[in-house]
Amino acid sequence: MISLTMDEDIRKPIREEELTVLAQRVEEDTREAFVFFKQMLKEKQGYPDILFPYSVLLYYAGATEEAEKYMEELNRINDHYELYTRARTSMARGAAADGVAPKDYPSVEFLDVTSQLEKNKALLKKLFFTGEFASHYYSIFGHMSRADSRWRRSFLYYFASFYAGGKKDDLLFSLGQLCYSQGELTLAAQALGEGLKTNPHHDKMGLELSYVESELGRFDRARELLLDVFAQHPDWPDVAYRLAEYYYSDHNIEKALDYCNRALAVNPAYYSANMLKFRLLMMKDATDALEGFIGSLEGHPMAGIFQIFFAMKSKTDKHRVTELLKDLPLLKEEIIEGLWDDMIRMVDTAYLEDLFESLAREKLISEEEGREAIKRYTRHEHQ
Amino acid sequence: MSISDFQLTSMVRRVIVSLGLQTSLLDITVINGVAYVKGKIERQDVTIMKIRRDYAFSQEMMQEKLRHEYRYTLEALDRQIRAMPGIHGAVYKIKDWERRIGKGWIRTHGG
Repeated sequence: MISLTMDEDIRKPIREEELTVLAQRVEEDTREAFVFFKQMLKEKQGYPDILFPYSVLLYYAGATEEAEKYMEELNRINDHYELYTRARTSMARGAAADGVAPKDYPSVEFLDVTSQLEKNKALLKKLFFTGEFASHYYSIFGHMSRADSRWRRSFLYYFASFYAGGKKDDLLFSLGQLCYSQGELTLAAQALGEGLKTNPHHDKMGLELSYVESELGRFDRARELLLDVFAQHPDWPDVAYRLAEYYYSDHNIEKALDYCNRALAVNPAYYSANMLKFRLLMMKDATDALEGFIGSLEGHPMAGIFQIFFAMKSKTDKHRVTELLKDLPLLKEEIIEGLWDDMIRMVDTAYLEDLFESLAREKLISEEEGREAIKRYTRHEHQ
Repeated sequence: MSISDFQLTSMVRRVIVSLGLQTSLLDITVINGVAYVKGKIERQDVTIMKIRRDYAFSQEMMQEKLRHEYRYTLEALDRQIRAMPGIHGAVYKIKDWERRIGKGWIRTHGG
């Protein structure tokens, strides 16, 4: 876990002078953000969504016409996202910068945000813009400070963003990600947990929290969260695959296979899901299914790898396996490094011994490597 | 469930986040204690963008600086993944990069 200096500790109560310094920093951070987004735009990275923060930055920097131009461009490409439409309308009316502060703020327990807000409200009013787009403006700096590991500054910007817009779920999601990046998992779970209660349908909160809970060893909770997200988004292959991983770790081969297949139904090229599915079929000794599966991957680099291990497990003529291995020199290195041990250990030991000797004779591996490999896998079998 | 692939995948993912890499561009998993990371590495932070801006006058120098930054990130990634209890190896399929035994990270394309 990363140790924090006092200056970066987000648990400390917010001091007035910190908010004053932060407000003074906004101009400099805006300039830095311009460098960042201009370059992103030049390289078309994150396009077209990148146009939204870039346009907001321009707007608050006073370049309103240019801001409107980019928001127009974004709306031409994506006109079904309400946020973008609202931004275009507000900018056109000249009303984006002087948005109204929320009348009532939702109560936030995490890090005592509500009482910190009440305590500092008068000062915040003097220092920061308010309204929906001001909230996005400060969030941009929160994200950028987080990417630069400036945790405390990031926290303060998210706090200013909450003051400007009053969006509790956005605040808690951002703070959850901030804590996660720092390795502060318990805090991350608190933030994301409160966020999920606030908005159970938030797009990313449940999945993010499930990663945190699984790392904290709370596997049942992680599974429940994944099942909830999966129920809402059965077309998200990452969620289906995480469930496959869960059931595999829980030794439930059938369920793991089921969720692998669901992930692959959406994304047939999903590398992790293909890797896990291959292992699951090998464990099940499902010869026909394996042949069909490998056949379906024809032309894919993984097909060759799977073909080799399947051939070894089914004791295919070792000269054929040797020929297959010649086509994949990197795989040989990975096998020697022990990275495919789980696959190798499914192969009959006597066959393996013959194979390694044959590989040494063919000079595909050195004699010493052959001896080492035989010793390793034979010894394992006797353990 | 003891320390498992399910948990290790989360730990690997967090290392990737903490290094500022975009998880959306990477396919991350741990199977039987071996970490697999496939995809593209991309950092979107001010340091990277400043390199791109400050060395815009020379493509060669910019690429050299970026190569250095990314190699450092990949070295840190590999070191941190391998140091995790329960991990006994890592396989990387990273666009334009290869990790070679005894040689470390080599840029294969793009300068």
